[in-house]
Amino acid sequence: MRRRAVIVAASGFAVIISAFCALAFGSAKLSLGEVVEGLFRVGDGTTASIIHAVRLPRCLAALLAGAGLATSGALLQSATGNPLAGPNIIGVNAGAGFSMVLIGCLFPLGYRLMPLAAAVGAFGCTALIALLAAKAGGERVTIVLAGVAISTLFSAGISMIRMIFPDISIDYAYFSIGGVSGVSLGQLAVPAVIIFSCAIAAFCVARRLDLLLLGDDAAAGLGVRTKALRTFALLLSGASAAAAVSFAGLLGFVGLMSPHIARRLLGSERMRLVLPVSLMIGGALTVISDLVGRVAFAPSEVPAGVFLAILGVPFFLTLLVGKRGRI
Amino acid sequence: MSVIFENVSVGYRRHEVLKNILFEAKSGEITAIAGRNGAGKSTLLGALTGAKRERSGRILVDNRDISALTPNERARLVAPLGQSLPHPHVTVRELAEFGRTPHLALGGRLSAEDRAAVDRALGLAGVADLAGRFVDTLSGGELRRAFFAMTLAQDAPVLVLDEPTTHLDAAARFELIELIERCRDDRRTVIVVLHELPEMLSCTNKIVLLDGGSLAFCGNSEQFLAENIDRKYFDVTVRGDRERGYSVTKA
Repeated sequence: MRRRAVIVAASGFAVIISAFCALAFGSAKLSLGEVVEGLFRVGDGTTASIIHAVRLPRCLAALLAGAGLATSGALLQSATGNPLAGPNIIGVNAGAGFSMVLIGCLFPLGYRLMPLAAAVGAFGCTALIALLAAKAGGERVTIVLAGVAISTLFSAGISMIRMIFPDISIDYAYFSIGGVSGVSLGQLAVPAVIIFSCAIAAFCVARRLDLLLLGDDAAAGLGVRTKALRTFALLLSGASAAAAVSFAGLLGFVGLMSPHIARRLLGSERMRLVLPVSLMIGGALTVISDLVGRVAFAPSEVPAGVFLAILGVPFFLTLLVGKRGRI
Repeated sequence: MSVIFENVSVGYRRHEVLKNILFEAKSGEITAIAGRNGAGKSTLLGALTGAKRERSGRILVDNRDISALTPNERARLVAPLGQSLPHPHVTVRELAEFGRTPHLALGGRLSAEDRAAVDRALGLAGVADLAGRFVDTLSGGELRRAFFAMTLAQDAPVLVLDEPTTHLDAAARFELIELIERCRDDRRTVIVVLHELPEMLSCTNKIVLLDGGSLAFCGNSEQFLAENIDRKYFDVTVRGDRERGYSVTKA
């Protein structure tokens, strides 16, 4: 129990440290005092401008995106009992991508519509998969199969539109890698409300999600409506990922791996612990990846999505090998 | 608290698995469900726990029709223990705490009363000393008793046990039967599927025999032997009595 409390506290500390580093480091290095002064708009106006106009939105965007995708991944892995489940298997990537290329094709100048298109496409695709899976019995495997089928269909749609209209003027490559460059605070308000609402709702049903570990019959014997719970978790997961994708693109890895890292650090599968810790780990990993991408090759920038894989995979493999595959 | 099956039929599509089952399981008694493989024993338990819906007839628990109850209300009345048990990576105490779920509001935390119920269940199941161990490190007998603790923590007056002694060695089987008898003495209604005839005859108050989904016999151990049910339905001969114990030979 003490170890678990230490892990929860350490995850929170990692978020604070990574956020401070993201605010302090860049083309202009700032001290702790300057960061605090800048945050509260006291002292040098230039420092406040750097923090409020550039670094703070970017840092918050990375934190939110990582938290949203990690929440989505933790919910999905619990609902499907599948350790390989990530937001991509419920059509988030394919749905968002299809929606964006479609809008790019229909409204060539509609750049402002893109975040909304990505979110609507991602959640619409998840809702379609949830509906189909519920119709097919709502079992764990039907969610995965419906997800694979619908994602394949939407991916084919993306390829077809891009083949027929090769001049579509959207930066699909940047979107598909994922990053938080150029995000403004105004863009984050609605996704933040969605992501935190999903996380709170997920936390409320965490105890019931734990019971799915015992199998559907045992969970039903303890009063759980297993199919309804699974559909609810799927929709929460889709909403959380869709909100993140709307401003950060298709950040890979974080949704899949953050819950695994949390479980291995905690030595527990209980969702009441896994959810908050994976949320914080997802946020911290994304902030650090964005920071490294920003400073490692300055003045050039590498999107956060690239460094999430470069930094996150070795970290995860170290945990995996160190514990010989045990949780 | 009595459980009454009132002409219950259960089926899948066109296939009827249980046909017009009628019997009563009383509080403070162990009722065994017996029959060959495929006779419909697990389906009967599933109908009681809500995993299967009855096509016709009613199942009454304390004179309440269970099909009219919410899953949570049902789980407060009927606590099942399944046949195949998973190995989740949780401690024995956490597993027993899962049993309190029907008593908690959504997002609610365990109260002092819930923790006391968990402690009682761990003690009764004989796993209090294993409370900190992870379930996926337990032996077969320990695993059964850990899950039994979860079932007891549910604090339901009706226990539904599906082959609880399967795959256990003799000592572990003996311990589990003793545990089931303690639940009976605690005035719970115990409905249990048992395959071993000596075990079934020595510890149960009533035997309900299913054959091809129909009720073939309902009575106590003495009536079971007097009507030669052992030879007619199981192709074995049982000798002995409750005092001296029973032995089985091929008929």
